[in-house]
Amino acid sequence: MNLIRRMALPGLFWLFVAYLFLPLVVMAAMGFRDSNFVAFPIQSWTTQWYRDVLFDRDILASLWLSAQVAVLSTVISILVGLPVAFLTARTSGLLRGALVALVVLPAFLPVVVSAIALRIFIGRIGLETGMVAIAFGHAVASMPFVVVMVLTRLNSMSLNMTDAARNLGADEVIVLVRIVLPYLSPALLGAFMFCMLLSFEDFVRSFFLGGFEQTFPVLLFSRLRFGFDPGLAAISTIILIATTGFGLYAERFIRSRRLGRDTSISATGNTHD
Amino acid sequence: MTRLLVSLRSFAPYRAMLELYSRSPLLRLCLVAIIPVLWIGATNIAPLAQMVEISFYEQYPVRQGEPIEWTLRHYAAFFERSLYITAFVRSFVFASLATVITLVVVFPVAFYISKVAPKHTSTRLLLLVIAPFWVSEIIRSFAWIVMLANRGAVNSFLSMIGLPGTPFELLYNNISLTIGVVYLTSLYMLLPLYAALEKIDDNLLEAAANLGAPAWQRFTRIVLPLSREGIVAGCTLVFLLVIGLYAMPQLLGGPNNTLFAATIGQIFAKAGDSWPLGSAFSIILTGSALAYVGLFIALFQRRRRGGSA
Amino acid sequence: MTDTVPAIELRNISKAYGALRVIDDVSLRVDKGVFITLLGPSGCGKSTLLRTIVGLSQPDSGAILVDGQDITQAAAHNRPVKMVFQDYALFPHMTVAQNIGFGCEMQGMSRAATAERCRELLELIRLPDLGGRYPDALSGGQRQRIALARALAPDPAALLLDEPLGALDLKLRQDMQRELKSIQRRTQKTFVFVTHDQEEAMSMSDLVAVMNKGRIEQLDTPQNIYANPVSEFVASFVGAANLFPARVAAVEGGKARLEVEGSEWVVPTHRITSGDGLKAGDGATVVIRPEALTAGASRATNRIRLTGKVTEQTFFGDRVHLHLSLASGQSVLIDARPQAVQAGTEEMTVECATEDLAVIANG
Repeated sequence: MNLIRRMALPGLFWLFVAYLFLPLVVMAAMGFRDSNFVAFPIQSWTTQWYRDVLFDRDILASLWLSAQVAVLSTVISILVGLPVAFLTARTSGLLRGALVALVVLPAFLPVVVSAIALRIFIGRIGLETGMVAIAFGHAVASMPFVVVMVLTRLNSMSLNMTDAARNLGADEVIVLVRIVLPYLSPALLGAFMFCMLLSFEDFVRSFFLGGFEQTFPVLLFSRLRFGFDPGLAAISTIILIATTGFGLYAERFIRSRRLGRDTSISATGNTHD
Repeated sequence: MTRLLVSLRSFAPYRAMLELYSRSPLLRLCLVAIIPVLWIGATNIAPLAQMVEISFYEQYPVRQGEPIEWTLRHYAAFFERSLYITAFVRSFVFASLATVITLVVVFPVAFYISKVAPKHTSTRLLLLVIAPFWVSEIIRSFAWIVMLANRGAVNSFLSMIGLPGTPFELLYNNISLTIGVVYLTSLYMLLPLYAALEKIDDNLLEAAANLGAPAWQRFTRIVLPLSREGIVAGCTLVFLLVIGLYAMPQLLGGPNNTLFAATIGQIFAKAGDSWPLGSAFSIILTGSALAYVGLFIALFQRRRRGGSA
Repeated sequence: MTDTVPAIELRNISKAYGALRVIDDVSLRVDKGVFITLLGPSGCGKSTLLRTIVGLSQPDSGAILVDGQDITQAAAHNRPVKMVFQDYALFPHMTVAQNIGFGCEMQGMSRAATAERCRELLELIRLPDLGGRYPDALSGGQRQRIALARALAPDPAALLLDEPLGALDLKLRQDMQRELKSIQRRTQKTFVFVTHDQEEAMSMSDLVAVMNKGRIEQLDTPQNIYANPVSEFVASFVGAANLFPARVAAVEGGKARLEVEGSEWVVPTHRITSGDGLKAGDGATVVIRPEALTAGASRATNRIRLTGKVTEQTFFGDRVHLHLSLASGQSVLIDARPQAVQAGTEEMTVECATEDLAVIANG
């Protein structure tokens, strides 16, 4: 056991880390290859690909679309996720179980199926494929995460806090704006970043719900089917660094808020006789 | 903002509305429930219900003025062509295998982070392995293409060290697909496993060692049973993820090993008149996948009850 | 007729959750400037009563008047009474000053006036420099005072306090009791205080309402509650009490003759604290406080005597507690000065002046 502890487990761990990072590093390196083909070894190096992709109209257009979709879907899923979390917090027992099951249902369907079901649905209600449809699909997928994150935070909130605000003269609107939303803000910010990333990296829903314009993952997918050049490695690397940086920041943000100052306020709980 | 809201209250209808709202629990519930009910109805129920409906249509779209013809033909079609059944079975076998492989690969990693590595480093180690999570499926597929292609990094390395027979055909087969899929799913396994292992009290292991349990027994009789829920959760997540994979099998898998999700996707990529068939297949896939996972969970729980008796 | 309108008046308030009557026909008048305590065990309905007054819970029937105005139907945010919550319920995302100013802000007070009021209150609670801090940077006692200041800031018609000291440790709690009392005296506000701690109730209040099972059993000054309890519940919940079942043998000439513990006790009728007319044959309970029992048998009349075996002695420094087992098997608690007790005593006789006991009619 000691041998396993000291040698084998750390070995396996770092092997796993290599498995995670090596392909990404290799891909990043490929972006510097001075040739039109993806191949090793790399004999001469250039930064040309990294510069070129930043002026590729199709790529820029797809990134712009992805960004629009990400923002729109995130806004929708937070606007819907909030009331869903409020409703869930109000229910209990069997009703709550049923509600939670319905809310998280999309997360348990095979992605292809839920994307296709939405594709049929938007066709029936007369919504065109394209930006709005993709954002709608992404919002469906990310809403459960918003609900879970908001609920977690909501559970740590003393009910007396809203009661106290009401007692001090705050009506329902003010309680929401001044007490509840500010209290939830760490969870909302976390959910915001999470949804943005989820939307940005999604392929299947964008593929089936998209129209003529392609989001970045869809564009990359279709280019990969025709052949590879180091430019794709370059743009992939840029996106990789951007999303990973953003993701790590979001992760740290959520963690620090969860461990942070919210825990200290609960003194005795709130038991009314 | 607040002052505006406060001064708004001198406006009588607004004040009356607030009074009414705060005095009527039913009204409150209705207002809170309206968006969730509409949204869940429109996004989580209606599309699925419609899919079920369409799967029984003779044809879709229904022509103007013609009555809807109902049929089971599309479900029958699944059993008529071995092509479909093969893809279906292949999907389940592949997803199961990928799940098991992910579990075997990730378990030692989760165990190392949560139990063996020094406590103060575990958060950093966890972040290290979580980092690539935010890279999209397509980019990760591409990264493995660069690794495994005939003139990719691995073959280049192998020929450099003088291995004969290079280049090896590493890409576009089940092995390359498995490597890529495990790469994609490992985090979904890691997080539940880590959460479960983290909760196990270190004293338990020390107590067992103190009582003379050898390492292997400590693992099978304490660590495994106590991390069972994490294992079940991780396996469920991973299986459902793999069974619905669409892009990666097309990028990394072989041309003759089509998975069922891709089959469905291709049916839908055709004209609208194949939608009833695709819907039927979607229902078959979803139903079987959920049943399969449900059975798996049920089996695991029964074993636990039996074991503790 | 005086025109003094009570600060709070409750008329026949009732509330039930299913079959459980949490508040059972409670009526109460609280005059202005009074410190009144609702005292009772947990579950007696005292907190629910507070929440009903501020509108966070609706009564099934009855009326609530504040300064003579019926507010039974008013929304919570429109009621002029403010509350201090058990867990303080400070807003963690606002500074102390923002917390205190919240109520003023809700009344539409100007920024400058709010700031001024806030400064005043920080003076009052003697924490003038904490305005810019966040609540989680404060100690329990500080938070408690901030919560008090926040509720006082909008100049409420009355202040309701729901077990506000429950979360503090003993020493701090005693300091806060004095502090609360002094703030009440200085502000001249009506305080309605809820607690299950009878010492707290006794030491702070002008009036105490003892609650049990949703009803007010007795409303009186702390002295009277202690000396003249009207029910067994009040007698045993407020302070320690020895209860003796008794039967009335006769009532005549300002004296009642009671059969207790196999002997006859003659008690002046003004010591009968409940029940309008006790008659011969009625059941009753005699209440004797442990400190009313003194060792020894004097020759004085107007005393009752008890003799029994000492089963237990507990020494507290300035006091000693003795448990006496009577012939009937009843155990009696005596609270005495250590000098009055001889070491190694086995059998002992104690006595009590009939003026110091109370008789409660049964039923």
